[in-house]
Amino acid sequence: MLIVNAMKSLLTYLIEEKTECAFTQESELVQSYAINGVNPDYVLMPKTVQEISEALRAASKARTSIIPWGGGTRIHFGGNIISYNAALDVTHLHSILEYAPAELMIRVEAGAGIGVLNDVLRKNNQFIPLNPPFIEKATIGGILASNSWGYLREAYGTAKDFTLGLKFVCADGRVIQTGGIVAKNVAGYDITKLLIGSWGTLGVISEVALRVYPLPEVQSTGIIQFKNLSTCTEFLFELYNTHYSPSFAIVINKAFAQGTFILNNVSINDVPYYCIVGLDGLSETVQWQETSITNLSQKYSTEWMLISEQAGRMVRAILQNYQGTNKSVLCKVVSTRTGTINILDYVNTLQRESLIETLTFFDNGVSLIAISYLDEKSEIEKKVVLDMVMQLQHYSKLNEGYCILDSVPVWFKTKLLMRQQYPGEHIMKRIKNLFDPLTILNPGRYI
Amino acid sequence: MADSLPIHQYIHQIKQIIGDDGVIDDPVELLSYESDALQGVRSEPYAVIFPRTTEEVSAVVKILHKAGIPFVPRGAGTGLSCGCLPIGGGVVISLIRMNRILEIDVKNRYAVVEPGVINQWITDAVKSAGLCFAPDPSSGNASTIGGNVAENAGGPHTLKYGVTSNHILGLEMVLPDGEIVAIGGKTSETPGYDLVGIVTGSEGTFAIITKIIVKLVRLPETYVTFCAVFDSIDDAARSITGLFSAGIMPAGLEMIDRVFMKALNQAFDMHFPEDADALLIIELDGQLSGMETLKQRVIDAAHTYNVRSIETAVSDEERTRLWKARKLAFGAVGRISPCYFTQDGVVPRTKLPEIMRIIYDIGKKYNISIAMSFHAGDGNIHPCIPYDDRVPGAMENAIKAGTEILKACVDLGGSISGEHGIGAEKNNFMIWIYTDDDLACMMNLKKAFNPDGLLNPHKIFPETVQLKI
Repeated sequence: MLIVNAMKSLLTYLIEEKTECAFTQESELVQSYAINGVNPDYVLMPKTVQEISEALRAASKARTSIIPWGGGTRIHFGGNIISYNAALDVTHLHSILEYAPAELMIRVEAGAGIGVLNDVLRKNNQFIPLNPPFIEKATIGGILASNSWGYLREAYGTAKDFTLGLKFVCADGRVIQTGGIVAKNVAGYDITKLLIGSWGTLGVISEVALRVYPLPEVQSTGIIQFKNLSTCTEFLFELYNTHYSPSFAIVINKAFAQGTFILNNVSINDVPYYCIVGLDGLSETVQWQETSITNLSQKYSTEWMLISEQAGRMVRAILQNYQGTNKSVLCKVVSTRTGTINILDYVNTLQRESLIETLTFFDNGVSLIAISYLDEKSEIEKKVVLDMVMQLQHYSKLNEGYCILDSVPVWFKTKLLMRQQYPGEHIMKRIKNLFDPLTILNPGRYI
Repeated sequence: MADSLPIHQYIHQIKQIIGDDGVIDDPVELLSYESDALQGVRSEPYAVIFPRTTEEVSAVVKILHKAGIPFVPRGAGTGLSCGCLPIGGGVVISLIRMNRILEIDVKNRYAVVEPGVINQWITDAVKSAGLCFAPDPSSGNASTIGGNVAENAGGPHTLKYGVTSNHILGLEMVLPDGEIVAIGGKTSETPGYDLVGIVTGSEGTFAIITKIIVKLVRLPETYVTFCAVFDSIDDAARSITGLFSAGIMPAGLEMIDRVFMKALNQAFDMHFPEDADALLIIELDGQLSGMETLKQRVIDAAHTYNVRSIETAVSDEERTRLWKARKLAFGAVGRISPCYFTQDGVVPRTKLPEIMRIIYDIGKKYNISIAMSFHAGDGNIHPCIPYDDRVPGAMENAIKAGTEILKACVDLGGSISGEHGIGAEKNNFMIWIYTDDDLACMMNLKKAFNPDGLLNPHKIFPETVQLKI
């Protein structure tokens, strides 16, 4: 009865707004917006910022809960659904509003796909260095809302480092501009940084202005094998102390290599760890880097294996799109570099090491750790996985880091009772209450 | 006020905590703290407090909060927007005694420092390990890291390395009710909302920062620093976007105009050509390999825009001298006039030729010889508007000229502050770039940290905007 009343109220207020925002409750379409098995009652499909504003104003008056949608690639992140009256799909806002190559700036609507943007930018030898998983589906608004990133982060940073400004719609429908289009801007509070990574809980991002970068002239990928973690990490510390400046140096374990078949097209030995190094830049610089890293590898009694361009693209694509296995709990573990080494060591001691895949972005101290299970009906196996994650959380905290659940099955979310408290979380809750006092935006799933 | 005791009684309570040598309340001594580096704007504090620890800051803040007395944090006082002035009255809390580097972790590339640490000290402490703290404001030899964080300071190498907020991993702070809170940490990211991102650049209106975890980066292998002389300021300005269009990403790109070149020659014996309109300092940094290719691309691009001459610094000393000239440019203004006023507007790079013409026209309008030395690569202009305060109306004219320049920046699609902050100097101009809703949103955010408004009031926002609930 409550649900029927909420639906009626939202309809009533949408009509009162005289909005042209499309909406539907047609069941097949509604079901395609399910999150963890929970369907919304409505799907709202605005085509303009004005329509987003009208839709949110109506939702605010009707006290209906809204979950914003982009490409849906990260929609499952967060706690269990508490309330989900309407999906707000912003993918109909996908235009490029302004592109100034000489300004190194592009301004786009939030529903634009990063792949489409880079196709346009490539004509001027420019690009946006964002390569999160499922880039063909991800929208720029969703990427910013989730602060998603890929291996390009190692060289360029995250969206926080190159978003110049954005426009978002508050829960009550007000449209807010933060930042601008210029390279430096300290006028007022940096609400751009607050919205990035806020998972649609503070506002719905509708437009974004980004700095763009020149495309590297050439790309090269190589792999180095290591018989143990300590040699691998010694090598990496030395690598980063040189001026060789790789674009990325990612460590994967044997389980990852075998599980993803990442090295299938590469003739390489079976060892516990591999380091995949990316080099991007001027042709002569990349050649010098290749020679230098070859020499450094020999110092550690191993070998730098340069792989073909095609194999390199395939390897990079696998690294970019990794989301665990189809039966795994994927954790993102963040620590310092030395803390990350301790954590990888610790993972080795967990009993089911053959079913734990690790992918580590060494320079930033971030690891994706996928703990697999075989039978999701086995309560014993579920408990083992749960215990492992809790141990990982505890050990991460001991190493001044965090273990965040990234991609997990629904059964896991219902079992995990506690997450690590965030520093300053009481302030975050105040901010949430100030921005969304009626708690209509993505309620209960993040802060 | 919440309580009704006279202020001196609260100061007495504070002296019990800090000690007599930690408080200045003598009217003559307080004169040194009535302004920052923005000449002509003064506001005398009731007292200046010098805590040595986070706990002392917290204890002092609790007393002031309970008494309802406004308070303002202060670093070295090098700011240019009255950010550390107690406008409307208040107590200044100086962090200058909290000046220790607490921890350096070379392997994990971070350092933990107190807010009173001078910016340059951080790089000095880590450069033997091949590292540096990248943000390099021109005031880097005098400004504190706490002040840099509060204002989200920039500098000439922002172009490649970003501003201060790109290099802060974590903060410890004292909220306006005295609560001590740690946010962020030593890791590259922390979960939850980006509190570090929003406290950085909050101009001391959210919290008093008592510890900072800064990110350290590798010093480059090599530098190539060009000195490019142009006969036409238009050519110099257009060459900036020309460089970017050629795919060149300089580490720094600065401009000095004819007026400044003459002043620098007189003040620091620089030998800049005084018959040229403008000079660009263009710096590349990075790996030695490939640098010759990039160097030639810069030279080719410069010649496309009619450069008169382009030379590279042949030694570290020459490079240092060039950067010293740029960073000390405003110190040479004494050769031009006894006082100056500057602005901090930003425009899109392609609008640089237009804004420079507008600036010189405004100079003619007010009969002021405006000089330009600024971060050309970011479009962040710093017109130097000289005046003699002994001449009636001269300061007012200089301020009017600065205001018109700032408005022109906004009209060209830019902003009113690239790095100096809004403070009490530009708060009434916020309505040029933000709507009432935008400003109300920011003021709402402030309530999460500073609900009573006692910390650094009368800053950033126009006083006429009402909060919409």
